This record gives sequence, structure tokens and C-alpha cells, in this order.
Amino acid sequence: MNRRRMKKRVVCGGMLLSLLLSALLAGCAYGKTGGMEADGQGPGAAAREPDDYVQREIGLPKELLQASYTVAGFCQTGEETQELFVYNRTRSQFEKYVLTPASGWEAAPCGWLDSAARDGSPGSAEVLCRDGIYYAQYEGEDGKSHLIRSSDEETAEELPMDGWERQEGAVYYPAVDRIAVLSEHMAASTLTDGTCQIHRDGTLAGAFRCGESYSLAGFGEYVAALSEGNTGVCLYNAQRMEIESEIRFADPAEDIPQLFMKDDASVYLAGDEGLKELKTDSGEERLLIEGSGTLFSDGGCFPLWLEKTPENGFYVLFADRDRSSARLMEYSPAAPGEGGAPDENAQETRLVIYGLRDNELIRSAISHFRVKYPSVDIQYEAAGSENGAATDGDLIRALNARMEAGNGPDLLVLDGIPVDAYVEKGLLADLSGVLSQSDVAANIRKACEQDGQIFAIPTRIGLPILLGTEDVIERADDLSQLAAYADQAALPYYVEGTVTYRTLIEQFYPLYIGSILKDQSVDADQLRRFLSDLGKIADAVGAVEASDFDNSRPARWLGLGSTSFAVAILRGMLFDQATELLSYAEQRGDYRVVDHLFLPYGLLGVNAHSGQRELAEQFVLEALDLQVQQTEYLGAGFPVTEAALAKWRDNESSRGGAILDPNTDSYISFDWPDAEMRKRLFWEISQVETPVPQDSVVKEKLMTIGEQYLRGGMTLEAAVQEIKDEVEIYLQE
Amino acid sequence: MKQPYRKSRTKWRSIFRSRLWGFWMLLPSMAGTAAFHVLPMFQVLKQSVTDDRSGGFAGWEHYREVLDNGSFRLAAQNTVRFLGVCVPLLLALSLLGALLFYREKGDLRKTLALLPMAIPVASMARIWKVLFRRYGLLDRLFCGRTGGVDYIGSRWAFGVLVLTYIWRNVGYDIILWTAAVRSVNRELDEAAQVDGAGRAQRFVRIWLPHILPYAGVILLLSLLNAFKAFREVYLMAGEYPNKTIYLLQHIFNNWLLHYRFTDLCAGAVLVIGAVGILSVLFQRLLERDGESGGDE
Repeated sequence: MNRRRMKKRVVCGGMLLSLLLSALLAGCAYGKTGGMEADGQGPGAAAREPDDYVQREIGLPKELLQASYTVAGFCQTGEETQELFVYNRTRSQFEKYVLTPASGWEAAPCGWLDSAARDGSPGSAEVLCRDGIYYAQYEGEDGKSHLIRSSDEETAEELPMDGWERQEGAVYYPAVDRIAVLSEHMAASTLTDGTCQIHRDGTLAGAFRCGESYSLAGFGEYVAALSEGNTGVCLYNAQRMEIESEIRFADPAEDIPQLFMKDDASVYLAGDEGLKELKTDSGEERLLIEGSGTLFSDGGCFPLWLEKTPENGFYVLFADRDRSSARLMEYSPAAPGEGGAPDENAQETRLVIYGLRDNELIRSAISHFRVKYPSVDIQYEAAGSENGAATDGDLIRALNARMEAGNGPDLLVLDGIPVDAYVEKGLLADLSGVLSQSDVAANIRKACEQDGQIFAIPTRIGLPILLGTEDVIERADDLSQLAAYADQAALPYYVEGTVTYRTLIEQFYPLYIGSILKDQSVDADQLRRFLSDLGKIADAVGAVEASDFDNSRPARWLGLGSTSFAVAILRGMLFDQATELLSYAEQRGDYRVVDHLFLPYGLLGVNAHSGQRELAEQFVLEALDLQVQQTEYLGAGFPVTEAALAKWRDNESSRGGAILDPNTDSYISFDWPDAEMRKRLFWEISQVETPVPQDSVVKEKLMTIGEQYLRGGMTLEAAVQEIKDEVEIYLQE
Repeated sequence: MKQPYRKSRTKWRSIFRSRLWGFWMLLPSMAGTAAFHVLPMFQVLKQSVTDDRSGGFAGWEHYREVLDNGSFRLAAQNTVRFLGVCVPLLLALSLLGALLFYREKGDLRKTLALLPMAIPVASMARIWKVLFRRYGLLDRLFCGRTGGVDYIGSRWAFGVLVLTYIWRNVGYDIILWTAAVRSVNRELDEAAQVDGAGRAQRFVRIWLPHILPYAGVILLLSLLNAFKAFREVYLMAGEYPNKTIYLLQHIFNNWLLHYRFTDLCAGAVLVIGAVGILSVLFQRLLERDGESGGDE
């Protein structure tokens, strides 16, 4: 008996011991891994503790705040004097502003740049200063690059530059991207063909292959450019005309850094990771300013100019892609007790932002918000981008579980998330009070109202448009008329590429879904008409089930010609498919936004149960601020605020191009968007009043079953009934 | 005279002591079950009668909403139809299989029988898509290049679902039935045969009463596996499949997506209740049949 009891005790004791041991081992392994990840002291990692710098924004001159401008240059002309050069598009002139500690910004004359304004593309100008002499490089109307110099700031002389002229047999001039002035007689320039040229008194003295052409710096006898492949920095000795060394990056980042040289001992690299210093003699790389928490990590802002302050800090001028908005930041070394690593014991305010996809505007808003609220820790979770394998459904379920547990994010980017369900359950705060402090366009505000309250506001919008001849545009509001027209008219085809049924449904879906879905049910008659009319259009344009050619460009598959039409989503504005179509339509026909529809993007909502609700509402205001909303590159859509829209309307810049008209076999050139088009689109946006339902389930059902009908796999009645049944299952849930 | 009393106390004490070890051994498992199953069930029950905006008592409001919901009714109807068709069919086919193959010995038979169940669900869904999607193997076989029937996305979807369930579970149930069939008294069967009883008579009078006690367990396991068929359907047809295979799990899954926790809880309570009642009824029925069979 005792022996049995003893045996039992031994067995149990052994089991408990083994449990304890395994827990201990697991704990050790976790601690070890956590420790390694925490300080990154794995083998081969370079020590990179950044110095402590305090970020401060220096506001731009008041005159520029409401103006439309392009930044041309920023240089240090005295120990405590900086000069900012801009081309004011509102007044069509170059302007200079001088910044001194005593008097702040003061306007100053810069008549010497008049020739650049008169003879060239002023938006392309880059202004530098070296040893009291001013230089400006710009693209002329003839497409040639010009370099002018001024010592009195009143007149300028042109410096002819070898190698900048058109090569024999070539159609275009080589495009000069950046210049660096080394001295009165020496200058370096990078060209978009991947070469860096060194000129002595205008004569081409040397050249070498380089990486990304917008990264160039020079000082003394050295020129720094990215090496081919952007894996390091080439240091070129302009006296000996040879590459003196090539310093490889310790940790090549995905983004291409901007280079600056303020002395011949260091090259400064500015990019997403922050500001790094690269020693030219030893190749040692050191992180000076951490990117996170500063504008360096803002995807919409690029560091274009850098100057050193007397206190060994830095002035960095950031601007967007088109240099149409700028922010001047000062980074000063932190005083003892200031800056430094955050005190872990201090109570930290945290704002959590959640979205299914990464959103550039939100990142830009975060950078701006951090400057205003440096003590707030912002955590942006772009769940879909971080969890590649998970579906949107999985992510939304996980989010819902968090919200239900009271652990939800403070702000939500609601694209792809069931907004109506959240509104119904009281999860989203009413933003109408907050939005009264912003200048969101009144019609967009009204479109987002539900019983006088606003729970989600878009930060960008797109326009679904129908393009075609006058006859087509007249019939835009009635798909049946359009279909009848398409049936009769002999629509020309392109030789290459055809449209598929799915693409056809996808293109017309936003224009007409509003009439099909009503009061949480499907209008069978409207759906029948939609499918039947789409069938006629499909026959008229020769739609197919599958196509090897890329048929995402409507111009290819629908054929723009004398009697034809296309549907596009107007979102990107520069060299996007819709850009070409619109310019084509302008010359051959017209376009129209059907039924005053718009597509909301970047929907922002505040968690009603957030502990940081006030701060979250301030973030919403920041996302609607002019600095964040304004942009010339509208790849993500149009702004939603009056000021940003007006600024875009008044912008005079445009891009030229040409597209082939397959019906006449000739090129149509365009300069787009011109003032007329900007005013027209501005007016269109002011008229939008109905958001297109962004329901992916309904769209997918319509596309899948509609496709079966269009290819003859089922009758019209069967298709209508099946779509109605399945969509109503979803709507009734 | 006191001795028997002392003996009894000692006996109980030793029984208690010996079972105490068992209790301690079971404690972690019980704690886990309580934490992850029992407590959440109470939470679900509580949430099913709570108003989601105010947090107050909502009474039967959510249950009424759920029962009024057309999608829930459709899902319930489809689930009952699926269970009503698949489970008896599976039991019958697997019993037939057991009767045909119960004499065979060896591991190969067991392996082959269990193979469908061992195939990962994701792999199975992939294979099924190749077989049953538009321009899949079946489509090409029957319709050629001009066909284009999506068996998973059309009215044939229910048939595909039944086939999936039967194919996946029949082997497993055959093994279970085989154990039942092997328990039949051979001598009794031979004696009946000698007495002139036919095959059908012997099956009904001798085999069935021996097999029926096992039927309850096999039925329960088949029911549980029937609910697991949702995984295949979800992987093949997504969150909103053809309406004929739109099951209860679909609507629960979608309610989770649309933040309808209270409806989800009310629906879950209704389903648990229905399944519980059915289980008890079946158990009672089988026990009664078993008893009456035993008496005979």
C-alpha cells in the first residue's frame, strides 16, 4: 500500500517538475528572443543610436499660406540668414524671402530670375547660392536646360553648358535633374539618363555613371552622387576627375535618400529612416535624427534642401512631389534634460489609428500631427498591409472582437469596414461639431449626414465619369438610352485588346447601382433593365469572357472615336488613364459625372468609446487641414476641403503628352489639366451629392452572376432572381 | 461492534484520498474547460438578453429579431435540410459498408477508410474547386468547352455539399459501425439461420438490437461532423455562397463581421437549445429501442 502511494507521489511529483522545467525553459527562450529584438544587438548590426534633436517648425511667410507656389530653393547666405526662393503661381513671379532671427521673414527682390519666369518653365527652377553668387537651373520652353548666374540679384547671365544640348539625331534634350555648384568655375549636374557631369567654366570636364538622378550634392572639390544601383555613395574628386571612393550603405534602405554636403568631411543622407551622416574618409554611417516621429518618415514630404545652423543643428526644407507645398523644420541639439529617450515611467498619451490598408494621407496627417503634439505617441495599424495572408473579413472580425472588448482603436480609416453596422451600434462618434471647425465642402458634408449627424468623413473623393461624344453624354443619365444608342451606332474597335464582361459590369456599376439598391432591397425591374442594357452594350463593343490583353484602360477596349464612349473613375490626375481620356474627350467629345455621384476614399471615423476622443477629433481636423489636403498629385483622389480644392483650381501647372487616336492613326497632343479643365472639375466636385455605395459583396455578386448572363450561361430572369435572392440574403442579415 | 463503523470511515477516507489525486489531475483541464467553454456560454446567454447600446436588459427582443430575420430562417432551413438528408444517408451508407467489409482485417482498410478525413480541409477545397468549378473536370466532362456550369455556385451546390460530407465521413463511420457489427452474437445468428430465418429477419431481429446502442454515439459524432462541413463550404464558396448551401454558420460568421454580437448570441442559444433537445430525444429513443430489443 505504502509502496503504491509512494509510486503515485513520485509520478505526480515528476509531472509537476517537468511542467515547471518546461515553463522555465520557455521563459528563458522568450526573454532571450525579446532581448535581442529589443536592442537589435544581433551579429553584424551596426550600433546606431541617434543623437537627440528637438524638432521645431518654422512657419513659412504669410504671403505663401494662401498662394499657389512652387519652391525653387533654400540657401544659407549668412551665419543666421536663410533665403527662400519660390515661384508664386498666383502672381506668376519669382519671390524671395529672407529669414533672420531678428525680423523673421522679409520679402526681397529677385529680379534676376525674371528670365527663368519668362523664358522657361518656372516650376522646374532650382536656385542655389555659393560664395555670394546665385545660380538657377531651369527648363526652357524649347525643352533645353539653362543655367543662369547672378552676383547682384538684379541681372543674370546665362552660362552655356556642354552636354546639355541635344545630341545629333536625338529628338529631346537630356533632362537635367539636379545641380550642385562647387565653386565659381565648377558645377556638377545629374541627368535623367543616369550620368553625372562635371563642368569647368561651362566645358564638360568629366562624367560618370550614377544612380538616382535627383540625389546630388557637392562641396569644395567633391561631388557626392548615388552609385549605380543606389547601393551606396560615389565620391567624385572634381580636381582629379576620378571617383575617389565608393561607400556602400551599411543597411541599404528601400527609399532613395537625398544627399547633402556642407563640408568635405561628411555626406548627409536624408530619407525615410531619418538623417544620417556618412563620413567620407572612414565610410562610417551614423543616424543623427530618427525618421519616426519627424517629417522624414512622412511619405508625402521629401527633404529637398538642408542647411546647418550655428548650433550644429539643421534646417531642412520639406516639400511634396511637385514642390507645391513646403515646410521648414529646424532640428536643434537637445539641451540636457530635453528630448532624449522617452521616460518609460512618464504617462504617455497614445493615439491608435486603424485601417485595413496603408493610406498616404493618413501618414501625412500623422507627421503633421506629431509636430503639433510631440508628446502624443501615434500608432498606425495598417492591418491588411502588415498581415499579407489574412483576408479583409478575418481582419474585420479581429477588429470587432477588439471593439467589443473595449480595446478598439481611437480612430478608424473605414474603407472596407462596415460603416453602417458601426453607426447602428453606436460605435462611431458624431463628428458634426468637429467638422464645423473645418472647411469641408458643404455638399460633401451634406452627403455624409445621417439624420443631422456625421459619423464618417472622406478625406479624398473620386469621380465616376462617362466620356464620349455629345450624343453619348446627353444620354448619360439613362442606361437604356445609352444602350439603344450603342446598339444602333457602329462602334469602332481597337485592333488590340477587348473588354471582358466583368470589367464592363465593374465600370458601369458605380454609375447605376444607386437605382438598383433601394431601402435595403433590390429593385428587380431596375436590375433587369441594367443587365439587359448592359447586354446590348456588351454586344455592341464586342465584350468577351476573358482577354489576354490588359483591358483596364477603357480607351483600348471601348474605342474612343466618332461614336463611342468610355467609363472611367477619375482619381489620378497626371498621366493616369483618365487624364489621357479626358484630354481626348475634350477634343473629340465631352465628359460628365453621372447623377452627381462621388466615390468616398479614406473615410475617417472616431471610436465613440475612445479614451482619447478629443485628441482623435483633433487628428480629424489635422487630416482636413490645408497642409495635408493640398496636393497637385491627385493619385489618391481629390481633396475634400474648400481651400485645398480652390488651391488646386488656381494652380497653373500642367503636363504635356500625346496619345494615339487609332481611328485616325495620328497623335493628339495635350497639355493637361489646363485652367479650363481645372475650373470645370472644380465645378463638378461642387455639384456632387451622392456617395456611391461601396459594398464589395453586392458588387461581387452582380459581377459574378451578371457575367454568367452576359455570356449566355443563364437567362435574364434567372440572373435577376439569383442576384436578388443572394443580395437580399446579405442585405437582410 | 464499533469496528464495522471504523472500517466504513476508513474505507470512505481511502476512497476519498484515492479520488483526490484524480481530482487534482483533472483540475487544470476542468479549469480550462470552465474558462474557455462554460463561462463564455454564460456570457453568451447574458449578452443575448442585453441591449447593445444601453447595456440594459433587452428581454426577448434579440430572439425575436433573429427569428424574424429572413436570412436566419433560410440558414436554419438549409441546415435542417442538410442534416435531414446527410446524416441518415451517411448512417445508412456507412452501415452498409460496415456490413460488407466487417470480416476483413488489416490496417490497410482502416487507412483507406480514414484517408478522406485525414486530407487537410484547404487541400480538399482546392481539389473540389478543380472538380466542380466552371470549366472544372466535371464541367468539361459533361459540357465540353462550351459548357460553363459552376456546380459550387449554382443550384447543384447542395449536391456538392452532400457529396463532400458523405465522402469525408463515410470511412470514419464505417469503422465505428464495424465495431458495432462485430459485437453481434454469431451463435445466435447461426442458430436463427438454422431455424430458417431469412437475412432480413436476422438483421432486424438479431443484428439491429445489438447495433442500436452504438447508433447513438455514431449519430452524435455524425451530427458534430455535419456542423464541421461549414469549413469546406466556406473555403470553396466564401462568405455568401449559393442560397441552397447558406448554413447557420455562414450567418453567424457574417454577423461577427457586421458587429451583430447580440444577434449572434441569441442565434447561438437557439441553436444550442435545438441541438440539445434533439440529442436528448434521440438518446431517449435509442435507449427505449435498446431496452425493448433487449427484452425480446
